[in-house]
Amino acid sequence: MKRRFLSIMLAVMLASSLAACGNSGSDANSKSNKSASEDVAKDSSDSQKADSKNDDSDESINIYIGNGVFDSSMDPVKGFMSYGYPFVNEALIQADVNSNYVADLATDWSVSDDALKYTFNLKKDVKFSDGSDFTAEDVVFTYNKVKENQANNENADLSRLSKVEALDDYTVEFTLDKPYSPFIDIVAQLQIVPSDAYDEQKFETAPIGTGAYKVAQYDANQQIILTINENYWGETPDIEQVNIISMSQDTAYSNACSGQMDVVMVTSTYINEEIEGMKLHKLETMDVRNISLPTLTKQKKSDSKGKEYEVGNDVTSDLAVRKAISIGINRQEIINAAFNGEGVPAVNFTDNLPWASTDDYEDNQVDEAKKILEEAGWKDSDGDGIREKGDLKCAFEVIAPGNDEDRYKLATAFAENVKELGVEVKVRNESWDVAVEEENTTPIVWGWGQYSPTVLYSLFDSEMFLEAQYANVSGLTSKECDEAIEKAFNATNLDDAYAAWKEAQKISDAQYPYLYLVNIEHSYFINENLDISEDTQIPHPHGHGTPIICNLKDWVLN
Amino acid sequence: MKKRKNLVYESIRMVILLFLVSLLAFVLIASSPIDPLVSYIGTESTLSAEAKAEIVEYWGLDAPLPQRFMTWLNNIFHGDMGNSITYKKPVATVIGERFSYSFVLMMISWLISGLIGVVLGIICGLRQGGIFDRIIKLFCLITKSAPTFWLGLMFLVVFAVWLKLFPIGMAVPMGNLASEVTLGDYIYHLILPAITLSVVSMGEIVLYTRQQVVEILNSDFILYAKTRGENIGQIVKRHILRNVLLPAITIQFSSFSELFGGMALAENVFAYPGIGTATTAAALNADAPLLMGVALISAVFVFSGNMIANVLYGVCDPRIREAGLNE
Amino acid sequence: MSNKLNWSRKMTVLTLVIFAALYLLIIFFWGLFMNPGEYAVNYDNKLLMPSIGHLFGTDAMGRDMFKRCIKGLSNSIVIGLLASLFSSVVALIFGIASAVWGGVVDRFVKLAVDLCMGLPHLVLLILISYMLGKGTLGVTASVALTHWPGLTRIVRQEVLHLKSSQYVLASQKMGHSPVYIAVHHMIPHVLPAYLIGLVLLFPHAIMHEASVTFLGFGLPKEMPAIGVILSESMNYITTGKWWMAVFPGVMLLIAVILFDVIGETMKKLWNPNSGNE
Repeated sequence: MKRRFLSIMLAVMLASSLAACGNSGSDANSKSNKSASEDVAKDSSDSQKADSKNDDSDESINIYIGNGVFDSSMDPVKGFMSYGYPFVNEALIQADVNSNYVADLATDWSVSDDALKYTFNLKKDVKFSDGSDFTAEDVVFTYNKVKENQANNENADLSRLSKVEALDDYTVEFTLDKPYSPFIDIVAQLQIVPSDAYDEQKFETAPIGTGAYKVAQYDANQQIILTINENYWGETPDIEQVNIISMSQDTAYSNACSGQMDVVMVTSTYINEEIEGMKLHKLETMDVRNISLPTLTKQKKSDSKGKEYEVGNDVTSDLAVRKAISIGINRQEIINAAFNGEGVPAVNFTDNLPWASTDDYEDNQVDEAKKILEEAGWKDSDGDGIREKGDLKCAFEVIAPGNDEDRYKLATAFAENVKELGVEVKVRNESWDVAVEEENTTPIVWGWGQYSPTVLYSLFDSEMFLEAQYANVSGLTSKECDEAIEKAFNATNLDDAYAAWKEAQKISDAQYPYLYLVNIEHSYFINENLDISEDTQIPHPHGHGTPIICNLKDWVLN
Repeated sequence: MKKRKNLVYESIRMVILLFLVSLLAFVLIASSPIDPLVSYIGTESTLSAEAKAEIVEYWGLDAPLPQRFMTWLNNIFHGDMGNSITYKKPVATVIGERFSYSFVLMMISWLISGLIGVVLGIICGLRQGGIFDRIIKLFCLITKSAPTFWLGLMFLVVFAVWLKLFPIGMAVPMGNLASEVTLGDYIYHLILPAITLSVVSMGEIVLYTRQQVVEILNSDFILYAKTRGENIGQIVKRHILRNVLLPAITIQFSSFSELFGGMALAENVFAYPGIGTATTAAALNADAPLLMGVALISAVFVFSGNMIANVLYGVCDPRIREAGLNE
Repeated sequence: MSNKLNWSRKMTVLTLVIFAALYLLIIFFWGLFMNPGEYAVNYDNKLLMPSIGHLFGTDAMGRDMFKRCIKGLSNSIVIGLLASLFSSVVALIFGIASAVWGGVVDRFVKLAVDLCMGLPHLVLLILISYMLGKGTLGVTASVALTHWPGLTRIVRQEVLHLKSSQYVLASQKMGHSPVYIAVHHMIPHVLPAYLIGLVLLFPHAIMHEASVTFLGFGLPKEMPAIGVILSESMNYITTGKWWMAVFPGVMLLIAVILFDVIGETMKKLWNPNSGNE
C-alpha cells in the first residue's frame, strides 16, 4: 500500500554519467494546457444544504483526501510531499497551474552558463510558524541535512550537489559537480525546514514550516488538525482550521451524507451519486494508469550484484502482441466500463507535463490489430476464441496490486475488452509484496504522474533493469533510448532537455513496453459553500486524491 | 491449602505458557517472507545506513532466530517493544493508547452481554417452550452464527447511515482538539460498536444459562422445594441464581478469546481506533514490532481471563469443573 | 414424554437434518462445478436490483450476485473441508495418543492445545496468514491449522473416559497392545463425539475464513468468496445498494446455522441424556 507512493526516483541515485544543462527555471517552454480543471458537477437537487457544520462560529472544515498523508513521515527532509503539494513547509519554487516553476520562498533565480551554479534570491520577512526568521541559513541547513542523510530521502537526489552557500542572508548559491537538468525539479520538491528548530523526531508528525498552516494535533491514522500559521508571510487564509480525516472511503462517504464532511475524495464508484449540499468536482491530473508488458522472453537474468531473477514473459515479449493490444483495444469503452466514464483515454504521459511526449495514435483499430497478430503467427486454429502460436496460447495474467478497487476494475475491463482481439487476460489481485516479486514477469497495473522527468529514466533506462523496485520492469534495453536519456541529463537548457526526453519516449514507445490506458481524474464531493479555488489548482500529480490540498490557503468557506 | 497450591501452580503454568505463546507468535512473525529489517523500519524507510545498522544490531536481526527472540525478550523486559512503523510511535505507547479504547469497549460489552444474557437465560429456562423462549432461542442462534462484521455492517447502515442516530467512524468528534473532547463524546462514539459486540457475544451465555436452569428445574431438590411451597421468586433466588451465576461468570471469563476477536472485527467495521484496527493495520503494513506487541497484549488478555476462570472453577463444585473441561 | 411422541419428534428432526444437509450439498456441488461464465463480468448489467433474472441483483461489474454467492459459499465449504480434514487427523492422533500413553505425550498435547488457545483465534489466524504472505494460501492454511485444539480436547476427554471402562481394562488384561485397543475399542467409541465435533467445527472454519478475508488478509478480489463480496459491499451499501450486503450475509448466516443445527442434532440423537431437553 505504502509502496505505491514510493517514488521510482530511487532510480536517480544510480545514475552514473551526467552533464551540462542550464536555464532559468521559470520561463515557459511548456505547451499550452487544458484548462486546469473541469467542473462536471451535476445539477443536483437544488435544496440548499442546511448548515452542516458544527454550530460554533470559527471556521473549520473536515476533509477526506485519502490516507496518503498518514502513511509517511511529515518531515520534508525525509521526502514529505515531494510530489509537489505541500501545506506546512514550502520550497524555494513551486509549479504553477501550467506546470511552470514560479517563485515560492525565492523571489527569482538564475543559472550560470555552464549550468553548474544556481543562485536564488530569497523573500524577506518570512517567518516560520515558531516565530523564527527564514533566511539563507535555513536553506543551506535543509540541503545539507538532506545531503548528509541522502538515504533518508530518495526523492531529492543531491549527490551531484557539491556545495550550497549563503552569499548573504537572502541569497543562496548551489554549486553542482556536474550539470544535472532535473536539479530544478529537486528545488521545487524540497521544502525548507528551520535550522534552529529542526528535530528529526518531532518533525515526523509536527513539522515547523513557513506555510499557511501548521499542525496543531496529529492523531495517527485518525486525523491531522491544521490551524493557521499566524506568522504566515502571505495573505491569511480564510479557513481557520482544517481537519484531515483518515478513514476508509465508504466511511468518509457516509459521513459526507450525514453532513459531516466538506471535502470527500471519491473513486468512480460514487461519481453518479448525489449528496445534498455537496457538488461533485472532477479535477485534472497528470496521473496515468498503465500496464507493464515485459519485453523479454522467459529467462533468468542477474543484477549487478549477481542476484538471479526470473524475468520475461513469452507472450508479451512478442512486439506484435504488445502493439496489437495497444492499438486494438478501445480505451474509452474500458473507462466507461471500469470508471463510469471518469478519466481520459491515454496512450502516453499527459500533455500537461512539458517533457511528456505528445505522440498520439488511434486505438480501437481492431482489424489492424488482428492483422498484426495473424501476421505474427497468432491464429485461433482450435476455435476457442483465443489465438495461439504453436502450443503457446495468446494469454497472460495481469496483476492488479494492493487493495485498490479501481486498478482491479481497470484490469478487469481491459481483460474484457482485449477478448475481442483473441487475447486472453486473467486478472489477479495481489498484495504489493507479491506484485513486486513478479514485476519482471507478470504485467502489472501501475500509476505514474509527477513533475520530474526522471521517471523516464527509471522506466526506460536499461541500467535500471533489476536494480530497483518498480524500475524498468518491462526489461527494455535500447541503446538509443539510454543515449537520449543521457542527453536529457546533459542538456544545456530545459528546451534541449525536454526535446531529449521526448526523443527517449519516441524510441521506447516504438517498443510498446507499457500499455497506457487512462489519464485518471480525481473526483471530490465538495461542500457547496466551500470554494477550493479551481483556478489555482495545479494538475494533480500522483497521490490518490491528496493533491487537492495544493492550494489549501486559497480556499474560501462562505 | 490445596486451593492455594493450585493457585501457585496455575500461576507458574500461566507464565510459562505466556512465554511459549510469545515464542510462537515471534516465530510466526519472523518466518514471514518479509525482510526482517524492512519489517522493523517499513518499506518506505528514510533511515540512513548507519541508523539501519544500529537497528539491525539493537534487535539482533542478523542473528539466528533463537537469539533474536532472546534479544527481543530482553528488550521487552527493559520496557522497549520497538517502534511502530504504522503509527510512528513506540509500540508500548500505541498499545497503551489503543488498548484503553478497546478495553473499555470490551468490558462494557462483556458486562452487558453477561447481565442481559443471564437474565434472558433464566427467563427462557423458566418459560421453557414458551413463545418468549422460542423467540430468544432463535435470536441467539442467529446472533451466535452471524458473522460479527456483517452484523456490525447492518447496524452501521441502519442506525448510523439511515437513521443517523450515531456517528460513523473514529472515537472522538472530527476536528476536536484532544482538550475539547468530553466524556459524552467518547460514550456517543462507543455505543454502536458496544451494542454490536454485546449482541454477538450474548447468544452463548443465554443458551448456557437456559440449559442450566432447565436442568435445575428438573432436579429433585426443586421438586422438594415446590412441595415445600416455595414460589418461583424464591426458587430463583434460593436455588437457580446460586447455581447458575458462578458458572455463568466463569464461562464469561473464559470467552475472552472470542471477545477479543469480535472486538477486532467490530472495530474494523466501525473504524474505531482501538487495538483491533491496529492489529489489521500492523499486519497489512508488515509492522512487525507492533504485530508482536499486539500478539503479546492479546495473549495476556486471554490468559487473565482463563486464569480468573480457572480460579472460579476451583470455587465451583466439581461437577461444573467437569463440564468446563468438556467445553 | 411418551415413546411415540419422542419417535415422531426424532423423525421431524431427522427430516430437518436431511433437508439441511441437502441444502449444503447442493450449494457445495453447484458451486464446485459452476462454469465461471455464470458469474462473469457483464458491463451492461451493472448494479441491478434483485429480480427474477438476478435473484440477488448484480454488482458494479455486472456479475450475478446469486451465482457469486453460491460459488463463494462453495469455496468456503472447500476451505472448511480442508480445515476439518486436517483437524480431524491431528485431533484423532493427538487425542488418542495423549489419552493412551499419558505422561509426557499427554503433557505435550495439552501444552500444544493451550498454546494454540493462548492467543485469540483471530489473532492467530492473522499471524499465520501473515507468515504465509496472506492470500489464498495464507487464509486456507491459517483456517486449516487452527481448528484442531477444540476437537483434540473432545477426543482426549472421551478416550480418558473410556480408558477406565471395564472392557478396555479387560482387553488390557488379555494382553492386547495399546494400538490394538486404540483401533478396536477406542476409535469406534470415540467416533460419534468426534464426528459431531467435526461437523460443529465447520461453521467456525467458514466464519473465520470470511472474517479474515473481510479484514483483507484472505482471498483475492477475483475469487468469489463471501468475505470478498461483503468487504466490497461496504463501498456500496452506503449508496443504497443494500442487496450487495444483505443477501450474501444471509446466505452465510444460513449455512452456519444449518451446520450448527446438524451438529447439535447429532449430539442430541446420539446422547439423549445430554440434558438438552
